[in-house]
Amino acid sequence: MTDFMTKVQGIFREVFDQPSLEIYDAMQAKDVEGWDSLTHVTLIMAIEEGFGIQFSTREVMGFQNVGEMLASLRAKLPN
Amino acid sequence: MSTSSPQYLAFLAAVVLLLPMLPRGGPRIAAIAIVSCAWYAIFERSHLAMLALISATAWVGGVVVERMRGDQSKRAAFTVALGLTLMPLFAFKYVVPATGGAASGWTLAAAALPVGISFYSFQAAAYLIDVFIGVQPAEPRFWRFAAFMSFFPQLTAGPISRGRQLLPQLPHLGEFDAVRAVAGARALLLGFFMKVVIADSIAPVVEDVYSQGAAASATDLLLGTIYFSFQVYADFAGYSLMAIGAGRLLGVELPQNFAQPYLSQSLTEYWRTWHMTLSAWVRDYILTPLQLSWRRSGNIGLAAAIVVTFVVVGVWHGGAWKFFWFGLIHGVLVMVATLTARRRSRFWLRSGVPQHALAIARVLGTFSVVTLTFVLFRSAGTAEAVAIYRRLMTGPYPPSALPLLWPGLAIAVLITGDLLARRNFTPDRLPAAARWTLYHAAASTGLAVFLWRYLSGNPVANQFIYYKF
Repeated sequence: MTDFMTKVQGIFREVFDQPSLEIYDAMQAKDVEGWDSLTHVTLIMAIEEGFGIQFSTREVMGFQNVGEMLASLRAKLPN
Repeated sequence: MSTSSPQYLAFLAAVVLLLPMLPRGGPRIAAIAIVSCAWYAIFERSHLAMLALISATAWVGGVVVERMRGDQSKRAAFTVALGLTLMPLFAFKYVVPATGGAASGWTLAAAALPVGISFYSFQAAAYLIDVFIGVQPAEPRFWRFAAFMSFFPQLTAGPISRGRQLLPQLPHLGEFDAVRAVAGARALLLGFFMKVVIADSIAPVVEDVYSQGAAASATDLLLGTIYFSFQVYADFAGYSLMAIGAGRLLGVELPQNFAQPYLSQSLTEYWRTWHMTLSAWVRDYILTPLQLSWRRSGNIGLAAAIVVTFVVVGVWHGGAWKFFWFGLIHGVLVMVATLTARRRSRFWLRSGVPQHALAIARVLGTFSVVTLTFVLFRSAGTAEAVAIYRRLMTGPYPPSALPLLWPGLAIAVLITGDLLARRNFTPDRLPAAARWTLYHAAASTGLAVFLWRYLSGNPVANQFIYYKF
């Protein structure tokens, strides 16, 4: 696993309080216990803080799974 | 025209039988759009143009928004399309009532709220937003979009479908699948039973109490309000099940709209299980964007997002103040419940109260809050509601002359059904003889009630409560 993925996974584990959570591209809110509209915002903010970036409301509303979120995140990071 | 009326059931039967005779795909989709509009025109002739206009606006809007390349022009096209799509709803709900309709020189019929306008406007708005944020491809074929917008089983009061769910299913219209057809007939029968046998038989008792307003005795008001909670549930959940059943008979799966809301252990659970397609709509298109926009304000942002969302839901029901208060009360309660959820569950865990007792107390508490706020919903206005609350608080509580047996029985059947549904019971688990006895009992009770109402000169099928929203 790349450093990037390890870091994202760590954020997920902390937000959902599940130390063994494994993330994958097709993962959706319904696949994770406790992923509701409240924790969703917490997750977005944790990722923004962790990587020092910002998502727009429209971008966040368009995420259909973890893969799309990661693609959007990668595009915001300096190479 | 009520979907529990004999005319509707005959119309539905005709469409279910005739649709498979057409070639698959395009012809069937166009036919559904045409018969849906024809059905709407029978009782809403003056507003058929409104349905067509909103559909056409959203369809053109979707195509244009998708084609725009630049971020700014895309956003501009989206804003214009969404504004135009929602403008008629806004005008009919708030501007026309405020001006009495007369100012515009409209006839009375044309100024009345078009049946179902909220539901098809919300469906159109969700579609446009989804196209804009890129989770829904724009539908290039107008007939397909028209069928999506006007699909008659859900046209007048939902469930509110998303384009992603309904549009891809349309090519399967009229395809027969035995398992789905049986599930459809069962949903249709259960919904019909809930509406005709349960809701419509409680309705006159509620009307009796609320026509007196605060002049009724406290006992009658308490009982009448509890009856109303079950009436509105059986009415709306029954309608939704009939829509889902009709959809299945036509080969389409519509979204679930109710999941035993009165067994909820919290107000947040109640709102997740009551009118679920509206709740999901509001969550995705109002609450989430507000929460995201205000996410840097911490709990204050979250609190504000929740309260504003519920006020919008309240006011959606109408421009009267009582709906504003209804929304505000629910908003504040849900906000407090959300912010204190963790602390409360820790407290109760340590308290040593048995889980079962706690669950029952929570269900009763949630139901009481919901029922008390229904006073606002059912009363003529805020002033009357306040007078009713005062009467309920101060009493006295004399013995009531209201019927207890028949409404009590209807409510007991409803609660039993919900408890069984929570345990994933379906009639499949019964032996065939018992299953068919149940179906026959439900159908014949419904028909007997129909006949009895007809012979006693009452309207055979009452209008659904949510038609007027």
